Amino acid sequence: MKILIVDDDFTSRRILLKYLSEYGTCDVAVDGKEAVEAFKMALDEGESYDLVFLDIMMPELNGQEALKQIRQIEIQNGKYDLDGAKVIMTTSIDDAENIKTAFREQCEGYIVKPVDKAKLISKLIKLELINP
Amino acid sequence: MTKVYQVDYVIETLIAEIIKQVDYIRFALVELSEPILQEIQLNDMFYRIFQSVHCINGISDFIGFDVIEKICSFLEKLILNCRKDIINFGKLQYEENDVINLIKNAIHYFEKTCRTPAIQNDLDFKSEINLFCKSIQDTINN
Repeated sequence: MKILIVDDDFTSRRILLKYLSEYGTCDVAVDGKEAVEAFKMALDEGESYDLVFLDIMMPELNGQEALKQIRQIEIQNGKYDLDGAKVIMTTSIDDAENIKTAFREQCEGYIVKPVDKAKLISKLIKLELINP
Repeated sequence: MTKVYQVDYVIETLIAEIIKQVDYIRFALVELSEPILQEIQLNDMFYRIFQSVHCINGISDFIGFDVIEKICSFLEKLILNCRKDIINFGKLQYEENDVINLIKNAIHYFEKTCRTPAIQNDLDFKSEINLFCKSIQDTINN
């Protein structure tokens, strides 16, 4: 499984890397702009990401906007519905507006920081990305 | 106290969002019932329904509405197959009315759960939902 971890905070990136490295190859990006570029590059190279973890509050391009652009790129490349990458928002923002917006933009999950490993793994099982 | 209020507010807002997405689905169903729909319109209609169902699925998972989440997962697969049919064969391989009725029943259960979340603990309701999900799976398999 190919995973992209996007967070501007070093510690958050490190925690996710620690949790996820046993499940696949992890790349990291430090803001939304870099994430979109990495996503597009991977798709162009025919090695698209299966799973993306997106923080919301980031410089350059925030996570909500990055999610929107990622979904647009997928549509442009003929990836619809469940064929695209699974996107999980990992953020400390837990207000209704942000949660609503993220799901409207078709993310698959929304995890409020601090990320709990058990919760994260159960989400991956639910998304059929790993076996129970 | 403030935090409790905020959590309640978040859940209420997210339930309201489910209801809003149900309205979008209902609207798409009306258009889907139009007698003459071009292949591209039909595909677009299912795409819109899928997006709403996917959004409801995510929100339900977040707020712990397991019943809705379960139905959505089955429904997503059915709609996905419908879209594949339209793309590959230019038309649905399923009976259109069967699909419309299943979506209508699903939104009935969504609304029922949103109105009375505690119903999710009712054993009869759970059995009803299991049977309903089985009927979606049977349709997918046929």
